[in-house]
Amino acid sequence: MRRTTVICLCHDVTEDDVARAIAQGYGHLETLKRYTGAMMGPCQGRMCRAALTAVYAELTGCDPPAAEQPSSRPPAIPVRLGVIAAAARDDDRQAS
Amino acid sequence: MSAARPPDARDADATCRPGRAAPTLDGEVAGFTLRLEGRTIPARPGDSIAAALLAADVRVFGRSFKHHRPRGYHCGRGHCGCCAMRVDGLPGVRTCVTPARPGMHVVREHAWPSAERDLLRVLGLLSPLTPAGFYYRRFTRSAWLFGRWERLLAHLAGHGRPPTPAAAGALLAAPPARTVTPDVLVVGGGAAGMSAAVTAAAGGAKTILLEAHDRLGGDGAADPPDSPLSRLRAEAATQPGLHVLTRHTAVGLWQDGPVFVEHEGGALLVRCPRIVFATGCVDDRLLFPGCDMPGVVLGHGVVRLIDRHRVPPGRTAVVVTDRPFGYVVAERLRDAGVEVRAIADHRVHPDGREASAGRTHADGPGGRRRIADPTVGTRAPVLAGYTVAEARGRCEVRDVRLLPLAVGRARARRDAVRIACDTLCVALGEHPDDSLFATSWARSPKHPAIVPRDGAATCLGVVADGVRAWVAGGAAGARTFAEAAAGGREAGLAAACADP
Amino acid sequence: MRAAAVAAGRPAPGAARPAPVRWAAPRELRPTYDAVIAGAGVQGLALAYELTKRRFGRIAVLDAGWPGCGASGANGEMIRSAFGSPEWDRFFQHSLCRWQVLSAELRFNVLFTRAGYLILALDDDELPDMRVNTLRHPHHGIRSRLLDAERARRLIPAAAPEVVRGGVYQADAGFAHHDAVVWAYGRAAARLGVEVHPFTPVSAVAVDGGRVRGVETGRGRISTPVVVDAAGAGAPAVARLAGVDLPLSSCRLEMLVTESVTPFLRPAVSVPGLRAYCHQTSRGEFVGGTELPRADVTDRRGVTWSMLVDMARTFTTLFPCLAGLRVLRHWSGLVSQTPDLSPILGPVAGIDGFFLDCGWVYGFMGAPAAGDLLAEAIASGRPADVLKPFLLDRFSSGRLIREGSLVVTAETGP
Repeated sequence: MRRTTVICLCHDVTEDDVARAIAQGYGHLETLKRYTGAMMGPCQGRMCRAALTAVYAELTGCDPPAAEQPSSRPPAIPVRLGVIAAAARDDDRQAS
Repeated sequence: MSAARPPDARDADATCRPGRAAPTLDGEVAGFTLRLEGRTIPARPGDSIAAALLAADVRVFGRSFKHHRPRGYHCGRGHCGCCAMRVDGLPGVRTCVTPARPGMHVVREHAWPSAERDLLRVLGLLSPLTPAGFYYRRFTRSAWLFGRWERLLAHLAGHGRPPTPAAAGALLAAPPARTVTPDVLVVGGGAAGMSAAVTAAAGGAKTILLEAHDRLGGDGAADPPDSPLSRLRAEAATQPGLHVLTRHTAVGLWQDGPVFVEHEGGALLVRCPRIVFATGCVDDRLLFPGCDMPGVVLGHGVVRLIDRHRVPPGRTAVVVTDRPFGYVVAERLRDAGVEVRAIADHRVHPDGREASAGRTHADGPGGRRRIADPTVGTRAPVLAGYTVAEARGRCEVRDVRLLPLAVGRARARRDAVRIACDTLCVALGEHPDDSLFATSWARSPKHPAIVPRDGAATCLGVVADGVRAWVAGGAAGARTFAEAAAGGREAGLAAACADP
Repeated sequence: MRAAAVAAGRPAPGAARPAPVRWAAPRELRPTYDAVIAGAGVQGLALAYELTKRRFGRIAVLDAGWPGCGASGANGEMIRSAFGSPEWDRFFQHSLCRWQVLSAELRFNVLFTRAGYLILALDDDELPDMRVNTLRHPHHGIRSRLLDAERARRLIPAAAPEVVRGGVYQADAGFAHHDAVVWAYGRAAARLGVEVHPFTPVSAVAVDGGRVRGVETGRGRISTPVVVDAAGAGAPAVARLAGVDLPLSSCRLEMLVTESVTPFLRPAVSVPGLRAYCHQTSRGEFVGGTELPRADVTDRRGVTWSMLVDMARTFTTLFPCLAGLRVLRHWSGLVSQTPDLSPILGPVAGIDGFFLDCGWVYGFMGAPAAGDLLAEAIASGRPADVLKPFLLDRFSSGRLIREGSLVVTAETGP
């Protein structure tokens, strides 16, 4: 059943995957994220960070401290490279 | 399924559409068409691509990355990516927030031969052999074998084909971004955002308010002009010193200061010293086997689909909830002609009158509606103390199994309820959408989690070079319209009065 | 969130926090070790593994954060040995030979993908130097080919034809997975008895009578005859604790990753003329970075709009179809770079027992060789010939290395 409970929709990371990863010793959200690939898809954790944290808390018995939550980086919403290149077309290459 | 008219609809063609374009006031079909692979799909001005597809009974929107699991309309707000398709040569277009245009060519990729019948689903059946990280333990000894394996994996991976040269070229030909330099930027046009923007502008700051969608006011339906939300909207439209930009999406904040804003008519680069983030929330999910199938839809996704696009998510539904908002969703579904077969409420004593213990929209649009009796209006049985244990189906939800919470195994089998339906609405809580401002460099020991989440406006301090920021509304944990509006006012005032 | 979690309520408070990885589990710090390595990135862990393989004794690897949290967890993952100087050729060919057997030896797949590596010439002026390099490469066991414009275009059909003038192609090079390498070395080292202590920064290095006596940390004092500075961006600070001033500048490099698409780029590509490097991972994502003509000298780890613009313009010029791909994430990492962009490896004259393994800008691909050669130097007391060009004394004697085929700029001045 855990194999069909999908936590990370982008990379099909299931609850079974998370349980196995924790059992193999990847014990922080950041290392768990890197090992399973959760939170690294197009949604960058928007849909799965809360779920991953909850399952992690349930399986390890402890809440991860806020400071150890995987961090956000821009862009907050995926943006196409061409949009950026076109937007900055008039800027000098040697930007400040 | 009968097409029912929503009670507070303003436009004449507000009927929900079980698969055909609705007539206009003049009685003519005012629609255009899209192409989905080989099919022609009718659509109306204002439809999102996803809404047009759902109205044409297309429920499988694609296949998942690794296991080729079917996916459909899920969050409705452009967050989850389940609705991503190839549109006019560009992969990864989020169809639930992308307006449909005449002649669009839409393709569901990463499936063969089709999204509904994907033979690569066999990869999902092999999933016991391929848990996450399995590749770290395979082919360690034979470099040649690993090489073959890696080539196979690379071809199976990839959630779409690269963009066509024409599509890529069109993007590069867009005009350069305009740089704007207001005193205050407010991101998000919900209750908190509008309050902050109006207050900041009234305080003398040159203010810009950005809203990603085509109207201010969050996910409310058309609401009467005397509601607090409508009044706020009217204030925002007429406030001197406030420039409202709808259909402008703030994409990111970078450390050297600028906020990049995407807009179909031309991008913006906003450089300003003070920002109020009123970015709202993301729906909470419920985890259970089958929680990602087509037919499982999050609460605000349902509301948005019905209110904005007049399309029901399905024909028969079960709602799982733990707050009054779930009953709002159930009522919307019923008004849209969906048969709500049950409401599974996590609470053992559900009380629809708990209007304060829920999100802004639990109050109803404009903060005026109250649910007196949870079952009136929905006429659906409420299963108190129940939750979803499983959603089953091949390509979409066919039935759901409900179980009482916190029970032992023996009792579980006896008290399980199986209900046939094609839609499961998950209307649980929300959590703040902090992706714009919870960047690694904006964190500090004082704000390790960025926001205390007690509902009031929060000062984030310096979040980029020369930029100070505040958070208000749902993104700061506000739970009601009143809290959000108050937090917005506080943040707007602080932003207007802060030293440059 | 989850039905059962809702039912079960919150977990009991006070449960012991798991370690970031099993092989870096919290444990007591011993009072003495035979060697202490500051920095649990790919360099520190590779060295620890190689030292313990040579039965050097009890080894501790200390890190201010968690293993791989610095540049090791944020780099471009590319691997080659076809460079522009004999020093780099020899050193990195040694590394490439180690890369080829690493997964089997460490019993963990580091996902070293022999997709090939192309150093692209944008201009015909670059080709003569590239020809000289390819003529020298066989001397060091490197199999490289000089490609003309036509052949290079066939190799990377997604590239805009007008920017491809030719290049140096190394077929048996490629890329790996940065986290996997850290985990592989860490697990293997821990299996052989190395202790990895995360969240344990070094606060003092005790030097007495021209030799290292030990280190101090927040968790206690350690006495040890060997201290290695493999602390990446933190290396100058650790060296200063031992009284050594290193010619290092802290520089920030930024990278991006796009959404995943079907394969359109097979080899890793490096473009020295644009200071750009990129590859498409096995998962289909395009990963790459660029640098401006002047290095971004800073110790801040944020990301800037101006660099994103540079990357967007550069990559869409190189690969026009990229204009339609969505950027998912834009991150940065810090490196401590030397004036000649070559690492500083080996002993420090005047302080017995203090070794350097820092100043890396191509540290990911160089780690297997550095670990092996440095371990040998520490264990036997004699640095190998391959290591000698990288010793610290090259700065005082003026024997800087001239390596011209890098994408990193040495310009750090105002």
